[in-house]
Amino acid sequence: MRSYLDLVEEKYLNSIGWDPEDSYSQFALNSNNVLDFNIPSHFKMHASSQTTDRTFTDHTLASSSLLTGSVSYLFSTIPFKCNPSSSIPLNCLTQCYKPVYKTAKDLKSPFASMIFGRMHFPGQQLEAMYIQGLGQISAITRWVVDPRLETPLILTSTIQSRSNKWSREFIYSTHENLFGLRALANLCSWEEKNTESRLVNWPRISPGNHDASSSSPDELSGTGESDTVSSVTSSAIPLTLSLVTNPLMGSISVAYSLQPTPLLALATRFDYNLYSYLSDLTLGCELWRTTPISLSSEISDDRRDGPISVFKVSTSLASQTAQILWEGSVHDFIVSVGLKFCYSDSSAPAQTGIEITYSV
Amino acid sequence: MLHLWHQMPLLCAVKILLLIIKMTDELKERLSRVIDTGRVVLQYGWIPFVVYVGWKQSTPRPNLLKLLSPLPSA
Repeated sequence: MRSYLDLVEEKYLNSIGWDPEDSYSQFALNSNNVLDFNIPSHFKMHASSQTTDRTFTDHTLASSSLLTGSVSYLFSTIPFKCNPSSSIPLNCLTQCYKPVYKTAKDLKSPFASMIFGRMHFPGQQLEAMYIQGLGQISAITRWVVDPRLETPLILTSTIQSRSNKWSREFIYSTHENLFGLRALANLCSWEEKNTESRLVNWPRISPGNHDASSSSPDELSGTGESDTVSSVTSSAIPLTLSLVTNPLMGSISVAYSLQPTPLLALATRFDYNLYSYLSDLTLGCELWRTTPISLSSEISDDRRDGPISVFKVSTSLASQTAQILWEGSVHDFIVSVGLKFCYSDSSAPAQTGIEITYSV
Repeated sequence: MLHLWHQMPLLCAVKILLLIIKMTDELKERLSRVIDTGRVVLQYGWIPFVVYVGWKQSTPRPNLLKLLSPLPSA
């Protein structure tokens, strides 16, 4: 399950006219959402709220071997609305397959900024973020302060430049002085924008994704090449095919995901390493349940006729593990229950957990 | 004696170098203290700063308790 503040950040990016999915980190998002979804590892509860039109809070309480928690505050210079958990569409909070409807976006607020801070207890570890828009460029600075770590302050700075055609990123992290360059090109044509039912062929390519370390003579460097083709039509099945390669590590990953019906998504991924000859096949599916029409009048307007629960399952044949997840809305709460286990070794401990989100 | 006189510039240079190293150590120590203090200020001051900016920039300015609490009626 995604956190409420992830949703707020996504809304913020949409409000300023940036596509949150137009980033290299979101490259194989659809297949990852169906195959590598998060399983809660213990009991966790989020209480979130939009206190004003520009400020948001999130309080988290978790119970594993000891009681932990966090408080988060977020401020944005531009006002926007984020729905409470009683009316938020479930597919916004769930990691799920989303057909790619790509439209050209214009930058609305080029100089908007956002600040965010989260303090974890116990330990007083701080996570912080500052996003500053500078016209077509955006500077994102994230830092973690934890006195218990060997490096008490880790700062990561990203400078992004986006247009409808290109997304370029320069990243620097004080952790081992890593820096990287990423580029992503959208190879689709934008002629059919503003048409309701259109064919969207969205091939993307990310050549020369490069990470290098300047801190030591034995440099860590890697180049990767990734390609994605998404296709959505008004009549055919939405599908996404992605290929991610890393020549230095010798890895090749091919993923294929599709949505044969609006309530079902299937995905498969084949990973292969050229040097170690290790391979893995991962299979997964998600199944949605929607509100019966007779009950739809009792549901609040925004969630009417929308999905109310999702059941997800995935398995990896190499590690022989399976994970099962159910997420759904129970009154005003969003509940996530998960199980991850190894089916070849019954003595291996299973991971189970429950996560509850309530936002107003 | 003449031999020592010839070595004077070298001795002076070594002494100056030692002074610089000593100063650099002091400077390093001072810098380290400033960085440590800055880190502590950043760690404990960032969230109050976010809350203050949120309170200052909101119109009308909300009750501070409302801003801190996850519940709308607080």
